[in-house]
Amino acid sequence: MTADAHTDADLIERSVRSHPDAFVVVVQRHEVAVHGYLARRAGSQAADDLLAEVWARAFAGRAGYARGQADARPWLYGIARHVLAAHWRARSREARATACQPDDPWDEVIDRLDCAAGARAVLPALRALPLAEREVLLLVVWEELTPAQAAAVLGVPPGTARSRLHRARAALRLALDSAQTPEAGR
Amino acid sequence: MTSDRAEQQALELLVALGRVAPPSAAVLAAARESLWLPVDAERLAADLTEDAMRTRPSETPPAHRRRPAQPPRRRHRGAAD
Repeated sequence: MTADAHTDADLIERSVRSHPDAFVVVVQRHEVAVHGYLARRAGSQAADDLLAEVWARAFAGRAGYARGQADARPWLYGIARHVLAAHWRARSREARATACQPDDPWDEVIDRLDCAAGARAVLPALRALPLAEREVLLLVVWEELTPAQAAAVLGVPPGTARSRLHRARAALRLALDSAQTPEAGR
Repeated sequence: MTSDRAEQQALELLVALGRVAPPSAAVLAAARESLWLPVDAERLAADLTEDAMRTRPSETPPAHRRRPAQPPRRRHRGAAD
């Protein structure tokens, strides 16, 4: 049987048991997706630098992989999320040292994204969302995860992820509605 | 605009917002490269363990002889005793 025929869970288990190099196949499957996850949130340059850290942490922690999860993406995004948090903490420390403090890394992320002119209409709404709701929304829209997979990334129950997603979508809808019919709010 | 259409439009705009250029093959290869050190270290450790098991099979004592009999454990008495 070729490596393609195995699920991520099979390969990770194999890499733990006797063939550590089986893990590289999992990396090859998801490297573009994980890089995209990092690049959308921290910029391409930072993603280039942080990707190796994600692989190192994933390899070191693979014995704890939940075998019931055939697709490793939620697990890998969860690790990438921690790597990003550490990156932002380091950036904040640097900013404090130079007396300029970025409170919300998303402001920076959104400014850096090369977005179409139309997409700017949703930026204020996206920025106004609570971080927890924004994370679920973007995992579902950008990374194409199911709400249950997004819950696994964030370490919250699936029901919590679903209700956060519902609130985020409602807020976004409302914001776009108000932006296009300004007299409605008067 | 209906709510459904507004939501659909908002989601389409979000998707556009999340488009990033794919990484170059060199970037991916460089990140993968960092994995080979721990992978090789583990493989080497596994090989050494396997070799050790293969070359000294008779030296492994039977289970009932593996642990020498322990002397009776002393009980520590406090100063009050």
